[in-house]
Amino acid sequence: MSQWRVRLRRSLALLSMIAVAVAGFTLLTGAAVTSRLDTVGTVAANYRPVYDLLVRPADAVLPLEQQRNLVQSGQLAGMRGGITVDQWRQIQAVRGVSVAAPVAMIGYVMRTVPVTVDLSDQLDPTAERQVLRVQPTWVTDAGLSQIPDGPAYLYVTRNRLDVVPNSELESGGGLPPPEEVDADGQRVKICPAASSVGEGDWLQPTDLRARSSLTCVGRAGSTDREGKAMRPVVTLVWTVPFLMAAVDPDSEAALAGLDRAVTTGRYFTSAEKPTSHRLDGMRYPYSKLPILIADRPQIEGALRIDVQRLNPGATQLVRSGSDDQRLRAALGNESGTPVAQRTMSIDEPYRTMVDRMLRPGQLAIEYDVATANTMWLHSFWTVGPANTVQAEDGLSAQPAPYDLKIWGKGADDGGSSRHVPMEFADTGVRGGVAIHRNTARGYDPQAGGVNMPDTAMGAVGTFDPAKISLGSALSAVPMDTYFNPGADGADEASRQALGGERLVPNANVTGLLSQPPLMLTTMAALPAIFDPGAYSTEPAYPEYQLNTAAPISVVRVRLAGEVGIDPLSRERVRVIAEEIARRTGLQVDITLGSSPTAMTVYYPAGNYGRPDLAVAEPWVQKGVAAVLVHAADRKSVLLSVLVLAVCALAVLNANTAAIRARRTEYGILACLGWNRRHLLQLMFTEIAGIGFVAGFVGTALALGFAFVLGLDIPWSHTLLAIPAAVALALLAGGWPAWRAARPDPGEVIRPAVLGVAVRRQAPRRLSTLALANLARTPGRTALGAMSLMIGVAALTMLLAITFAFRGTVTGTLLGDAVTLQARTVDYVAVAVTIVLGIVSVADVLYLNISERAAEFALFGAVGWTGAMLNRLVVIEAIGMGVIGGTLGAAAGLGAAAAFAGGINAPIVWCSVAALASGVAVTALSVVVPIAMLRRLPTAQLLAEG
Amino acid sequence: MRRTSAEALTGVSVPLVCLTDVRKTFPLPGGAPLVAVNDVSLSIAAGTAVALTGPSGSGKSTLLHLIGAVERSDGGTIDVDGQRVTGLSGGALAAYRRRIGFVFQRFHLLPTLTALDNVMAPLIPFRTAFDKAARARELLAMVGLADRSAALPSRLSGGQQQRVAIARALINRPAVLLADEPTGNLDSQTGTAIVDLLLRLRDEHATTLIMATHDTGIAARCDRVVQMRDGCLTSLDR
Repeated sequence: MSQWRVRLRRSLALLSMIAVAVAGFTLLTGAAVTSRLDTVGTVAANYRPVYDLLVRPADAVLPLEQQRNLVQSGQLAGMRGGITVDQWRQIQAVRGVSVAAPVAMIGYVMRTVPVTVDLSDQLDPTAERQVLRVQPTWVTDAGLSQIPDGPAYLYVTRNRLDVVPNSELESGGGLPPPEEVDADGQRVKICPAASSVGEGDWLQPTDLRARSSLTCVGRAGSTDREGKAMRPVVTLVWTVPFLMAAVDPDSEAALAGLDRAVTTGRYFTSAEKPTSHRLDGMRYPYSKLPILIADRPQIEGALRIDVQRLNPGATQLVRSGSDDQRLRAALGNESGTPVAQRTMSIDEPYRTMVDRMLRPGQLAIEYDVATANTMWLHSFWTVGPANTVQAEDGLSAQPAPYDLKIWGKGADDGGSSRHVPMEFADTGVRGGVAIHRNTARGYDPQAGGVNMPDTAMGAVGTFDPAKISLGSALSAVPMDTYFNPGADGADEASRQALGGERLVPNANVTGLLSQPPLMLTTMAALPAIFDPGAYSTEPAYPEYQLNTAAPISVVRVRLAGEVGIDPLSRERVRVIAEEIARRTGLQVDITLGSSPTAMTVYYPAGNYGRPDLAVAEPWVQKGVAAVLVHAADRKSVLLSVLVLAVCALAVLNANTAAIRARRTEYGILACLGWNRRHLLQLMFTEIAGIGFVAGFVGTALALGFAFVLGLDIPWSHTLLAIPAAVALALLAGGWPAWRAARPDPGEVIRPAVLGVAVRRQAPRRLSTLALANLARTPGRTALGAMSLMIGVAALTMLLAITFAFRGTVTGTLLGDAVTLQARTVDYVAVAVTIVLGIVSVADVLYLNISERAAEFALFGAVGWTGAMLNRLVVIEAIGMGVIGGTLGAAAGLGAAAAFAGGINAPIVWCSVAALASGVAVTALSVVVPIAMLRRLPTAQLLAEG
Repeated sequence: MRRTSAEALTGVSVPLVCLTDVRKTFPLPGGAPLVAVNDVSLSIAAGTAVALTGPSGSGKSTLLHLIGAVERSDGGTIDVDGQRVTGLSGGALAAYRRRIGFVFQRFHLLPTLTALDNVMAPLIPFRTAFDKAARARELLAMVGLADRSAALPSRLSGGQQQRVAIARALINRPAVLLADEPTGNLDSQTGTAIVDLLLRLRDEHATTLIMATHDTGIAARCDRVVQMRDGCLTSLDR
């Protein structure tokens, strides 16, 4: 009766073990295959970026890019050509090239708009005379930099102000100051004119002494020099540097869809050239470059305006008759009361600027200092690449000091040096700042002192950079021509400093992040600027000169036809890349199959509050697709092999235990004359039968879990499960059956105590008794420890594979996406391994208790409490767990190290984690055996022995 | 003769073991339950040696298991030394079992422990006021195995193993010693020696001995013989 029950229990235990193994195997291999297909699918779908090859001059490539197979981004603004138009044509002619889109950088063009601040509401209606201070502050770098500009003062009096109108000014007489006519008729000279300075006296254009102003306004009826009624307003100036580049209209339309991104006006015509014009009454022609302007600023910046009402003493300063310089300095020391604060973003002034460039015909009416340059291309600036040195984990940008006066050199009219963006005063990391001034060839220098350039800009329309096709975000390649996504904080301190915002380009063109071109012209228009002698460069160093011979900085190449992820396609791409490099001698990077990755760049602290920052620039990791597919293949194979091994060993354990439990039965049969063939037949028939049923149960379990977890298991796997279960059961049962088929009949009838004749250390405590028990049946202890060893080794391997896989593929957007996709299968694999471990250990403990049931019954009969018996089982289990876990962790560590090619910290942590979970698992697995312990038929066991 | 605690208090003779209408049934698949002990009432005075006799399946072992609280009765009451055994559970039940000594037909020695350690085995999880090893040695000497204390069970004869089991049963100085066919696995000569030992111990320690046996010769040497058949008492000798 009890033998039959033991036999049924063992068969059920074996059945459940095979079912769990089959379910785990089906689930996991199915999930691994699906995960591999998903990975390859994701990679294939994101394989092709906007361009397949990037061609650059060889000297533009950083050593870091070559070392780590990267392509940098944000490089364009600092490049001074290096590729000739002929080389571009050669690239176009290479067989298999569909589009070769060049970008020729020209430089920064400054454009300004006046910002009128109306102070009517801030005036004290009771004061006879008052002075208001308007303090502008430029806010940028996600609010970290606050750059104060020179204040603008407004003197308002209730008296009349007399000014000499422009029409009555005498030539060469200077500007006479306005006169305030007091109530008693006394006239006081106020608001002295700024003294003109020669080039030698120029201050830096960001020097606040040069950037403040004083405006004087009288009561109703007072008029300004142009005869207009005086109003209580001050005028500030907002300057935006526009980066200008030349592109080929047809290539750009084909590559990036620039033609479809036009929002107002029209797109360039094919190879559009500058048009020739002549101003009314002028002898000399000028050429007008066709220009497309970005309809959004793409740089960040805000202007905060603080209005203060100065103390009454300030009005006396204005009336004191001191000169302009001293007066503004004195006003700067006056204290005041804040009365208003306003903030405006760059968007509105930018729109105004674009609007003015689109309608230059109306500019003559509004001609003023701030808009003088709207049409003419008097001059433009170029800056060099960011000054970086290689740091341990990326790049470190170094401050690159330069003489800020260079920005003032472009001011053709005396006052406009103050129209330089105040952001220029912040730290620069780009040197090589040079100005290129129009030489107005063909003008007769003597012809009436005309100072007009021979190049102008004619806006044909605007484009929306957001409408440019950038391809999939996961395989995005640098599209510096259209946008700079900015850089996130790379460490916690930087992220915190940035308040979770992203550092984006601002008006400081010598900063780390450069703006994308906001103005585009055509390659055919380049000669107007790049023809030798069209523009002259200052400083006149050779390396600062425009690269007139090779004006193109990069060429982005798209190949003809479909390009797949298959090896043949990859080889074709490689051959084309080599052909381009061979014909032109240029650096060719294969961007096909690449993905964005983060490059840490250390950005030194700014002069106005921005702390040292580590930011992550979105560079590109080349060849990611191939690595991903390879890693996914390898992981899929490894997972399948690992799970197969774990399942087979778990079933081997269960089989050994089942056959062990029935040793007596086989012994009796042998005593009765059964030979080995008979015994084997009996065992294999039973095992196959159990395997068959377990196959069904396991498949049902697998399908259930797959449904719950949302996994898609291929039908082939489901159908294979049943024959696989039978095969697995037979294979794993082979060895124990073979051993059991030659039982020693004597072993069966010999009393159990005769089997042991070794003196052990006297167990005087529960723990030592538990250890003595483990040592007493070394085979069974080894079986239990082995179950756990396998589980822990598998878990270590699995964690190592997962980490290694993630380590191989993460760090790029595509890799991260794939890792995220593969997460479910990783979790399933870990869960299956742990479940198999728990079931295996529980099975061994169960067998232990069944075989030693009489002992437990005896302890119960002599007065041990239930808790004491439980403790004995738990200590035995943990002992087995520690032995098996340690061996498993060591084995897993070795295997993982062999797989990863060495031991590293994550692998060691994996093994420690697996060991800890192994011991925890044994502690968990005592739950069922302990429940069984409570149901032991004590009396029956004691009576039967 | 040993006095029970109730006797000590009242001076009136009270039986040490008192069974009243004790009943035990076992469920059988698809049929009426098997009545192993059928409303048995029995009183045993302290220090008495009682033999329970009867054919196999008559309920001798079950009755011993009920007295030893290894089995739970389905009805009736069992009182031992003034304590109501029926209804005990948890720690109280385990504590009661420590006051009872049990000797089995199959000895149930732990094969990895020496004779000395086997005698001490019931005390392993407990702290005691006395020296466990000294008491175990004393008991081994008492059963005539002083020189075999370091031997493993596999090196002992059947009779020696049963002596070790008897010593183990006495480690807690029990008031009642229950022996279930203690000679069943032994030849008649060894069996006689074991019974001699049990009776000597009863005499020396005033232990109450209740022994199940189907050997009439052995039964005849006890103070009382109680016969059982089909779970009922059929004869109460003396």
